[in-house]
This record gives sequence, structure tokens and C-alpha cells, in this order.
Amino acid sequence: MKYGLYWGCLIPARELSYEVSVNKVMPAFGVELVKMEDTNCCAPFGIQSLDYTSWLALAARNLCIGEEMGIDIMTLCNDCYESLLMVNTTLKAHPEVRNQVNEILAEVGKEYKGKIDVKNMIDVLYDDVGVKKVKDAVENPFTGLKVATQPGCHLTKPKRIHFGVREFDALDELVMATGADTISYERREMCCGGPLRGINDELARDVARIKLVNMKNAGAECIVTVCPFCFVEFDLGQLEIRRHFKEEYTIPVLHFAELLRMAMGMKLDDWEIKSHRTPLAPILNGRS
Amino acid sequence: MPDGFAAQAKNLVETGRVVTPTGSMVRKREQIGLSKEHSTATEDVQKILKKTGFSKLISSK
Repeated sequence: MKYGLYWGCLIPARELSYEVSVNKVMPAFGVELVKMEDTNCCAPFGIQSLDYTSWLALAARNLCIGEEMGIDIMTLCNDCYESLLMVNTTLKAHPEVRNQVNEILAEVGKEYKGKIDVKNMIDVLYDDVGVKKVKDAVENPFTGLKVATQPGCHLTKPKRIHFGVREFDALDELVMATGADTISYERREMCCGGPLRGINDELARDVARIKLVNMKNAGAECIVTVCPFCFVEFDLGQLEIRRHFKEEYTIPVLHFAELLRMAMGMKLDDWEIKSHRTPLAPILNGRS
Repeated sequence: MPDGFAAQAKNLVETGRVVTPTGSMVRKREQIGLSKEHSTATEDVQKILKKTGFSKLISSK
């Protein structure tokens, strides 16, 4: 199993514990990750809404790098996943759009050919590695920990693209492989509110609060996500929501890669624990 | 154009990324043994965005 690893912008700039955890966890399952060099922004939905053609061309340039490497791409961020998957799907299905994009890419000496696929880390763990192997690798299980999973919007939507790609509950199955219990909560499929930041901060905060209320009411002891934007919204967001609404929320938030890393018996360093704004202490139980 | 999108677009045109690491984050990366920064094809991004008219769209806002 060999993939071109597309890091995106946010993780290397803000969420280093996610980066370190992926580097430690994936090779343990025989997944060889080859860093994609000289990439560019994916580009996320904000850029898509400003100019559709620019969105196509920027994502296609990244796809060209994967094609030059001759391997499929693995993404970690939901926004990156959405952009690269959607553009790859669009350009493969519509030759006239591909031709238009290739005219733009000729400016930078690239040509999109449609030779590779795009996967998320969850696809790779669920489909290529398999839940059983993940379970077998667990040495320090999170037995009984009640986890609210937050797959994020673009791991599963739009469904016309994702239908047939993966079971919606793949993340839950992988979380349960670590020994934890996943809980159901109202509006699980709803957005975290993060994409509204900078557009309508008040609405973004309200959306995040609705999700936190539902998670808390369902008894969540931990939130697990794969999306760096959802992570910020719930980890840092809990501080803001506590302050604004005068309500108590102290639910630790983990990237799935961090949860799996600890379940595999690898500890988080002190700086990683401190990088979480909502304290992890209630769930560490000797894992630091 | 919403401020959040405008900021993303400006960063994209100038750096090739919508989010770039702060100085302290670059130092942290080095401290923990990660590469200083991930390489970015800024020049290619600027050429693409000039060709699509995106740069002009943003500069007019």
C-alpha cells in the first residue's frame, strides 16, 4: 500500500499532533506514505464559490503531481478530500471540462490525465488495512470510553459522489476497534459550523453549540474527528461557547489518528497534550 | 465578498496556501523534528490564478 500524501494547508500550519500521529500510525499498518512535494492549496469550498474554474485548476494541479508520482493520493483534511475527489470525479466524467482545465495547466507545464484515485485516511484504514488489523494492533484499549464521532461534512457528502465509496459508519467502526463505544446523538450529520467562520461568526457558534449540547446530552466523554476544521471548532470552540453562553462544556477532542496512536500503546508528548485547548486529562488515564 | 473568503483568497494569491504557519509554529515544527515548512508552488498558483482571472477578481474587491 503506497500513497502520495497530501498534507494540505491547515494541518502543517496548526495541528502538528495530527501530523505526528499520522506519521507514527500509518506505517505500522504497512502503509507507505510518500510526501507530495510542491503542492498548492486544495482549494477549499470558499475558493470554489468565488471562482469555479480556479478551483478546478488548482485541485487538478495537485492531481497532476499524484499522476507524475504514479500513485493514488491520500488526504487527511475533509476540505482537501472534497476538492481533490470532486475535481477528479468531474474531470474524469467531462472531457470538455478537462480540456478547459488542461489549457490553464499548460501555463505551468502540467496536464491532467485522469489516471489516479483520491482517498481519505479513513478509506485507507477501512478498505485497505481493514478493521480487524486495526483492532489487532490495539494494545491499550479505550475500553468503555463514550465517543461522539464527528465525521465532518465532506467525508460523506455530497452523497452522489460518496455513494458506494464507503459506509457512513466507517469512522465509528474504526473508533470501536480501539475499544471505545460510539454513541448516537441528534444531528450527527450536521456541519460543525466551522465553514461559517469569517462569514457569520454568531451563526457558526450557534451551530457548534447545538452539536455540543446534543453530544453532551448523549453522554459523550470524548469527541473524535478526522477533519482539522471540525477539530478547531470543537476544541477551541468549546472555550468560546463556554464564555459566551455561560454553559459548561469540557469534552476532550481528538483526531482519530491520535486516538488510534494511543490505543496502539504510543503516548502523546507533553506538547501535544498542551496543544489541545480543551484538556485531555479526563481520558488519558496514564497515556501521557 | 465575506471577509473570511476575502482573507482566504488574498492568502492564496500571495502564498499559494489559504492557511500559512506562523513564525512560532515554524519554530515548533523544527523543535519537534518536522520539516520547517511544506513546500508550496506559489509561482505556479499565481500563474494559474492570473490565467483564470481570479487575481484580478480579488484585487478589484
